[in-house]
Amino acid sequence: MDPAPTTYYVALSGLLFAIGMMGVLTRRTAIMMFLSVELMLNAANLALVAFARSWGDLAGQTAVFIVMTLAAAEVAIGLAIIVAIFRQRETTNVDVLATLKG
Amino acid sequence: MIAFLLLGALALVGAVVTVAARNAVHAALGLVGTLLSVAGLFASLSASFLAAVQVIVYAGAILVLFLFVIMLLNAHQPVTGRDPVPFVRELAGIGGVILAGALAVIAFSYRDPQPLAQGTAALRGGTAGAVGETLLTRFLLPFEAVSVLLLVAIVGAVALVRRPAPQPDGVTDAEGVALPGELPERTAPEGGVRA
Amino acid sequence: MPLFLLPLLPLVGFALLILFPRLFPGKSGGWLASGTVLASFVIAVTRFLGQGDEPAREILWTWLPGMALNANLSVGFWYDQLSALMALIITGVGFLIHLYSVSYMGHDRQFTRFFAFLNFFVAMMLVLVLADSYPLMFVGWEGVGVASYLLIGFWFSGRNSEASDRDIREASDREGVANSNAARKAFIMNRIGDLGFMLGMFLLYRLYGTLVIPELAERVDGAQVAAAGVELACLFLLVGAVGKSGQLPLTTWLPDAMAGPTPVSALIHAATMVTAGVYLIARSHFLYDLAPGASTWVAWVGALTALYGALSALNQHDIKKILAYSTVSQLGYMFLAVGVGAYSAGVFHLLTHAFFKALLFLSAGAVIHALHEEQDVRRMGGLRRFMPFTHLTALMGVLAIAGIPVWSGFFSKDAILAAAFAASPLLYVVGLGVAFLTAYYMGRWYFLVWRGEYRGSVAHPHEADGLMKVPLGILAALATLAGFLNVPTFLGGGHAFDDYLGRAIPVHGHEIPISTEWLLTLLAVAAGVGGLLWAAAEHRRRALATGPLGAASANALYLDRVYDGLVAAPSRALAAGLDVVDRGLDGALSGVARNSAAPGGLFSRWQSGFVRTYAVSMLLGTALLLGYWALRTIGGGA
Repeated sequence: MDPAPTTYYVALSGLLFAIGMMGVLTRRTAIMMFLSVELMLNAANLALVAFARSWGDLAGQTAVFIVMTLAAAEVAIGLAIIVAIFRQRETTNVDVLATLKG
Repeated sequence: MIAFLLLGALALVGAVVTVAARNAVHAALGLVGTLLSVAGLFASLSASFLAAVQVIVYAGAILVLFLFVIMLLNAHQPVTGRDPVPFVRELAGIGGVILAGALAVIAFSYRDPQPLAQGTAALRGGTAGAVGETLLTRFLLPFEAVSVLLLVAIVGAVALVRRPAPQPDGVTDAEGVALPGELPERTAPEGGVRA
Repeated sequence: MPLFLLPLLPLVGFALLILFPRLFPGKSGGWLASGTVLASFVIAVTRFLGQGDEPAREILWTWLPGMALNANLSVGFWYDQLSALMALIITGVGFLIHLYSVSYMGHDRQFTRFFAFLNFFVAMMLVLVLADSYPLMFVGWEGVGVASYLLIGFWFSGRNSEASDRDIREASDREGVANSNAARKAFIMNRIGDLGFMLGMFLLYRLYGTLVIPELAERVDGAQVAAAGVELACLFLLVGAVGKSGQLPLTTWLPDAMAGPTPVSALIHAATMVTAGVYLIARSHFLYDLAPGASTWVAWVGALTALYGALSALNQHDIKKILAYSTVSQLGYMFLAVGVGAYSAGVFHLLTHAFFKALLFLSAGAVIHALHEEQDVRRMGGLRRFMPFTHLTALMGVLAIAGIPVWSGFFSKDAILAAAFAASPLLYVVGLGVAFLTAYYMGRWYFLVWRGEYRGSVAHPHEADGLMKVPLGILAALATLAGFLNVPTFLGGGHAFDDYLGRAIPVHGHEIPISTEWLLTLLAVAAGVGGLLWAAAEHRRRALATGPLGAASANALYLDRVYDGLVAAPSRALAAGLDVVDRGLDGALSGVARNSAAPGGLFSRWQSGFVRTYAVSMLLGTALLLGYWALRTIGGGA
């Protein structure tokens, strides 16, 4: 059986990325936006691994490993921020947090 | 090929559930589906180590953390009420379509630089040994930097969620912390207005 | 034992004290600092005892390999007789002064910080004298500059900044500003000298292609280099030495540096750091031997500075300022010596001066301590009765610096004067005159502080405590006896010091008949005794309080004011002029800024604060970029 070509993987990655993007923009609670961001990160990871196979270079896979670590750190900090905001505002609605306007 | 189609479809379904579900818990579970399918796709791309890590770290640890916070804040209901920026939805639709289209065009114009079998062989199966060797030789500095970053994240997370210690004079507001030297002057007499 | 341990130990002490001051409660920080310097001293002594005739070079690593243009710029240490001697002086005298400071600084709130800086100074000074290349020496050179800056301004907020009384606090503030200005003055004047040092290094590298001292010494012999180039390099190095050693014309920072605590004046601004200039010239003797013109400059700079310092010291009223001008003057002697090629005599005077000047400063410190920070000699007097031990040690120091036979200063000064006589009678006359003046102002210092009736306000000045007596006693013994290290031949001695040092730097024997040499010695002794007798006579007439030359001497020959007029006043005028221009420009720019702010308000509405609007802007931007790329992919296939 033929392996699926790289272009399919990259296209799938693009689709996932766009879906995640829509999620970030349309959802209104911080946690849901965060979940969508994770989806986008995974889409990017998929493209990286696909290109790694295409070029026969492990650098792509290593980068994915590092991205995963970053994602873990990001989640830890992001969730901590959400918890801290929730304590103060009793909400996770990002539209309420519009105090940084110019 | 069959595996790709199956897993790809599953990933897309999961993604749509993630984005569209009204209940946050359902969304998180949808994301689990996507993550697991992506792990399968990793395996089909001969990245076995990453597939394992994806399952353990992402679908395991990170998602559990998400669910935990959702439960803790009791925030699984979506926000209702007037949208202050309603135009964002339309703009996001237009932008998203352009983005997806452009990405598809770019993806299908891509040509592999070498036969896939050759590339697959060079990956050595993407085992922990192979990835680890690359990580600890060519990418040693990023690896160490990331370890420091993780440490910072740990400290930062702890510092962020720590409740401010109650002040000796009963001031709990973090902005009301007085410098040691200023304390006597700032304790205004009864009825005095606090600056 | 490896050489790098010498600077490393005090450096470790510095790091511990500055990073973890809380670990050292009470006086333990002082003991730790003293301990590290003592350990370095022990290493210096072991190395000294095991030293062969051949110099040792211990290379640690290469600096910027591949980048240093084949300069082979090693970071290494060079241990010959000259650096051995300097290391012994620095660690030995340094240890005694550390010990003294444990008691002297005992009540200071910044006790631990003080010792951190002292340790840092010792480490950097050792790097300076042990360095095997000019750049590494420059590292130490700058390091001691920083230490000096930090320690001169040690009381940067005055000594009573937390007093409850408002007047005392304000006086303390003024004192703090003066201290900080003194520190800055020292730092900035040293910058001028450092520029000279750096230019010298650049030129040497251009001429010979190396800055490693032993390699340079080898290449100098064979190289075909224009004499003017060597002369110029030597003059540049002289500028550096002049800055560090407080010689004319960069001398005015050194008297001001007395704003620092007295142990600092003793260690940095008398015994060690200010002699770095002399060390630099002695270390570069192979260059100065090729540059007779520059050497003459060195000699004359030294002679004139010696005269300047002596004249300025005549009518000072601050117990430390007298000693400070005396230091300037004695450093001038050393420059005079190395300028006429008598390197050994110069370094020997460096050694004896380190002993007796450190002793004098520490005695002065004991007096200041006893009189509760009183520094005006007109309000002292008769302290012999209250502080017999310190009186005795101070007397030893005075006799040594005045050049009275048997005491160390006699031998070292005599050697310099003889060398000066052999080189140029004019230099000799200046030197002899300075010797006479030195004896007079030191006699004045002695009589005003220790003899006569007590004029102070503190009821019962107390004698120095045991911890301060130990360094005073040891230094007094050394100041008295160190001269016997180098008894000249015509007095039946063996020139032991010259022989030792001669293995590292050339000792140019001067050809003077023995009868002349006796005559010179007698004249020098006569100058010393005469000066002291003059001071005694004035003392008997109770006319010592105002010395000769009056205001000219009290104001240090107005040199500060000359600089103020020549440099500071034009700079201030320039600054004022620029200020006017600046205000004009500033007004114009403010108008422009106000007008540009208006359209900015339009854009600021886009900053709505809603995260999702920001995200959608990002998305649109990305979509446009990728769309463009996709169009190009379709259209051009590129």
